[in-house]
Amino acid sequence: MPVNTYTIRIQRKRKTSDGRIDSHWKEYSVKATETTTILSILEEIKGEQDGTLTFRQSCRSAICGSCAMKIGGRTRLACKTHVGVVARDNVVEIASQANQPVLKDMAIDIGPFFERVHKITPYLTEGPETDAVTEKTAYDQVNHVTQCIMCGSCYSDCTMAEVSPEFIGPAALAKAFRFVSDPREGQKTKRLRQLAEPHMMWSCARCAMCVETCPKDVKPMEAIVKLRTRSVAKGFNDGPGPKHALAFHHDIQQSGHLNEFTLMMRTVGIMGTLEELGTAFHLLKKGKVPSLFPHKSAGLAELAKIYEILEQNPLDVETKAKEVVPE
Amino acid sequence: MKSHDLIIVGAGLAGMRAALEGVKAGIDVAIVTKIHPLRSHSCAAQGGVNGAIDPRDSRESHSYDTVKGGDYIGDEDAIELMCHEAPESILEMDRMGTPFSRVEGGLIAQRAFGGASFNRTCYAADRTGQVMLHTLWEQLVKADVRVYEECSMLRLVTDAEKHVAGIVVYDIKTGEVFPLRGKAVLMATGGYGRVFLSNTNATTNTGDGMALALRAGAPLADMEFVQFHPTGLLSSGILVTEGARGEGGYLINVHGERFMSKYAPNKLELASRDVVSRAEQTEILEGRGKNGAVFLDLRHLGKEKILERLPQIRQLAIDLEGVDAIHDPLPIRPTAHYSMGGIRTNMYGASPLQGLFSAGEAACVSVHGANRLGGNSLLDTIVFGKITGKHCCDWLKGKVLRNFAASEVDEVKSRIADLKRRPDQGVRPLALLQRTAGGMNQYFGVFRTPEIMQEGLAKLPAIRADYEKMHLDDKSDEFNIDLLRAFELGNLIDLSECIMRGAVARQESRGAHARTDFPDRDDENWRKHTLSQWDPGKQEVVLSYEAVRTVGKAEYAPKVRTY
Amino acid sequence: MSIQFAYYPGCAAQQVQKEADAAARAVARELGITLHDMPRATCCGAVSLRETKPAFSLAVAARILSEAEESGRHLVTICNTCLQTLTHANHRFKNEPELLEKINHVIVQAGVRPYKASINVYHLLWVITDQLDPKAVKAKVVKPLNGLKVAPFYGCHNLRPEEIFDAKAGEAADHLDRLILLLGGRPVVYDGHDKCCGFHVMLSDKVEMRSMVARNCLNAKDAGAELMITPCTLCDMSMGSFQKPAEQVVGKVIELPEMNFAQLIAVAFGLDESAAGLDRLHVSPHAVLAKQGIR
Repeated sequence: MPVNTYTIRIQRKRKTSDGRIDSHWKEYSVKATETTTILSILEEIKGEQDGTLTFRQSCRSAICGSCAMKIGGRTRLACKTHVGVVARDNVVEIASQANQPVLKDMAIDIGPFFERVHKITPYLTEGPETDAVTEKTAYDQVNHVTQCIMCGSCYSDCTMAEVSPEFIGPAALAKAFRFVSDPREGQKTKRLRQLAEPHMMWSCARCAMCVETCPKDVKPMEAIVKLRTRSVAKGFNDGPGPKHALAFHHDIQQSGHLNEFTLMMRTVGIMGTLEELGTAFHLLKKGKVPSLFPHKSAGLAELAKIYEILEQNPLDVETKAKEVVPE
Repeated sequence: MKSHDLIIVGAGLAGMRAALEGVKAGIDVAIVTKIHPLRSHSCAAQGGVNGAIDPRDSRESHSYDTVKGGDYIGDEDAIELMCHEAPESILEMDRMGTPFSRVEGGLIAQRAFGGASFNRTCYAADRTGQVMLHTLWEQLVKADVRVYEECSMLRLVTDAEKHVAGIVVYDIKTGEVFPLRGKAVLMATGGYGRVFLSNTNATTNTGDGMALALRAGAPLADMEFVQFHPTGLLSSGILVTEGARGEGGYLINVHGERFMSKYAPNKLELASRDVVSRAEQTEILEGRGKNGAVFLDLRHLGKEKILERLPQIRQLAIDLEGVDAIHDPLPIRPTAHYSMGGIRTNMYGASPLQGLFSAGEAACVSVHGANRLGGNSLLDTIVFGKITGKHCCDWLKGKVLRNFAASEVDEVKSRIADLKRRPDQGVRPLALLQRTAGGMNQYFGVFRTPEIMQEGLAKLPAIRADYEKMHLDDKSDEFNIDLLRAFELGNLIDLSECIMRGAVARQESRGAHARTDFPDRDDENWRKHTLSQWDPGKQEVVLSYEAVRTVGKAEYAPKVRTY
Repeated sequence: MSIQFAYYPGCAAQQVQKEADAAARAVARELGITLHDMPRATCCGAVSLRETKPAFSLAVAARILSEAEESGRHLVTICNTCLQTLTHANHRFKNEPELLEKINHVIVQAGVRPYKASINVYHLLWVITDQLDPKAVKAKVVKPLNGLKVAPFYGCHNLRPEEIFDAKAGEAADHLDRLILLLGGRPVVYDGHDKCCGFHVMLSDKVEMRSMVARNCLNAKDAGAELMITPCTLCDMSMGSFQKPAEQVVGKVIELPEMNFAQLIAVAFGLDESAAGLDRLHVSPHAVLAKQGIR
């Protein structure tokens, strides 16, 4: 395999004496093949060019979760990322994870991330909802989310976390789903009730960035979708998140289309709507006002029938993780 | 001065399992770990955990397999204890929340593993270690155990009566050095795979607990027994699991010859780890390798089977080696994998040094003898984590804090200052590590030949001298990994010396220790444990020996080990 | 040459973002793409319906897809969320035959033609950049953008999850960039091009949604953008109509003209206001376009 010269641009970060982070970009030149991992390159820079370069790493095989960092604009595990895949014109930009405080270079303070995980009661609890037997298929939901190694990649790339430090984040929610879907968990309902609180599951903006960025195929957003399904089924429908989501099936049956005119009223209530009047007038200026009575799709009776059939005979359509036997 | 009843160093499976016993006993227990608990290397164990939970299996059979697998140098009482406790320890993990894979009806699924006479390896998909680690961490959170995260132990401190008094801690995040007093210290710091340049281990597996226990006066046992895994990827040493050969993969040399027919005509690629590793090394030494590797060839299995049965191995090789097993053979070589040696303890995890305990890979109880069986390492951690933790809590009753001399901290601080002050004399930490660990691969690898070993041992003084000249780029306090690695390298050098001296002295071949000049096992003279101790006067490691603990069962009597 | 598609504009294009629908139809006509309306099609339900009524959501998708399939045409849309919702269902139908059978069993009872999972779901943007000859598109450009710096805002639901889409998605997607080049503009590289517009939390997390809008727009502006385009009617709503409310949250002026990709094509093709719909935009692009001598 041919050896190329890569320019590695690293955002060096240092805490100043008054606690601020001083940052600047520094370039290193490294010879490597396309399949050299970013971790090997960082090791080489630290070992042979600049011992002050600081980053975490441990297992080298994508299972310990230490080396997640921004590489080429996205958060990735340095140990499984090939330089050839992320280099643009033989240049790679590397920086610390986002949305979290930095200690030095790529080493972030992992405390706040884990504090969020702690919030979801991250252990099996006893209670009345434990299943008697753990069946062979019991973990086809658990299996996806137990792949999580808590590397923080999803949180670092989360578009909601970027604007909302209060948001619990994808990793914690995926972990929550791991317990909600475990047949041995005794307090599933209590968990779902807590997860319906503000800044928890309903604050996910559904951008699926976590699904793309996760190095272990945990698909956190899919877990969040399933949490919401279970929560709605339990009737935890207070708050704008579930109210908004529940508007859809009603409208589809009524007219075939979303009634965007009444949607706000139903989601945030009268007070919320009044608060939003300014925004409404702003939209109105450009004629962006939905029709109170949207035109109806043809064949709506079919939808009512489908809905009725499914309410009477619910179908399990959840995606399931494949059973994995060790290699 | 901060203090705890029990300080556990290391937050892998053994350390965390021990901590839970401390919680149960109501003592003040704290964990000190240089990485977050979930980063611990226990997570890398894919295979599974052994236990006779099936009514058709027996604990006796498990014990027998383990005694034989360890080539008759494991302590039989400890082995029986481990195998006896195995089922309950596994079921306990299950109750805590580990999602072990199931069979119809809800029982835990089990599968076959090397050296076992029954399918007794419980597994959780292909990430048993990871989910067990996460389970114990969850329990730690539940019990609100005090964890000193990203804090490295730089010294084990004893009082004038050679009784453990605590440790000196270096907070990696801030650079702060502080004393931590404890009535007892439990080392659960894992193995020393990094002693070898080519290894399957995490970069953090530097055997800190063993090395500092050695310097504090505790004996280490059987350090020369290092398990080499036959299929480490050439460039990184990362493991390709045995499953690749289980599915029918061939081992070929540079000429494309399936060489195992020469070394193990019956079992071929599926012979035990030590046999396969020696065969590969012979091919490489005799010039039939390429760049120091032979090849694992999966191509004949076909794309479909590889994608269906070995997707993770394929992905790993693509990610780390840039080779797609569908199209090309994978370059592999024997790679240091597991440390059978460790801090010498009795069957309850107590070291002869008063107040020092150890469990897991850091300890030598000894249950693995000269060769560990697959699926017994995870078992070791949860069984002896629990037993040692419990025993330690019993032992603690009535014990008091010992005198912790302030000079201990000052010495560490001045050592740090000295390291930071050193002028650049051209010795960089990475280069010295490569010299030390590369030498271990070269002189103390799969085969050990007297002249070659002597050559390696002769390089030790120069390495020690250069270590004192080593220069650090990073002078800062916060997150100074450069500094941390300097201390770790010191530990690796000490442990290398134990391995070297133990290997030179042991004039036989047993388990993972293969001497070219003594190809056979010698039970009459060498069925005994090697003890390594630091001699402060001589400033070197000295050896002594201790008998294997036997229980007198006829079926445990040494036999020729065939599979 | 004429390419035929079943056209699924989505709710927003039919109610508030009518300018996107008009532009899409006009541009398609210019390029010889025939868009056939789907009289029976309903709202796709978005992720919301998938969350609240998972089986119903699949049935709704199957009914929509079946209508397109019956007409013998692939489906094309101009809303990212509709694209993702229908593609998500379609991907499952194609890969999980038992699931398709279960859903068909239900919809058939309601008198709906069973879906055979034989069609693809496309974005109109992909049709233009991937299925047409770039020279043919370029030939229609009478008002080239003259190096106008345009920020491509992809949004989320045409990119992720990467594996489900019937076109290049994920980090590799470059459709908007290629379109901007075809029209004679310069694509702006900025942090935020593939982030979230916040539309789906517009009501539940008001401040956060507006912060997202502000961040993405300001990043684009800082990188030199004079105009932003999106391939999605929902992103248009956020990034365009919600700029003012976003300014109030962050206390900064944004003023970045934003429009649907189809509107910008209409401009470059020299189509009139009835097709381009520029007067319906909250941040007027007229000055920026005039400066480049485009309009």
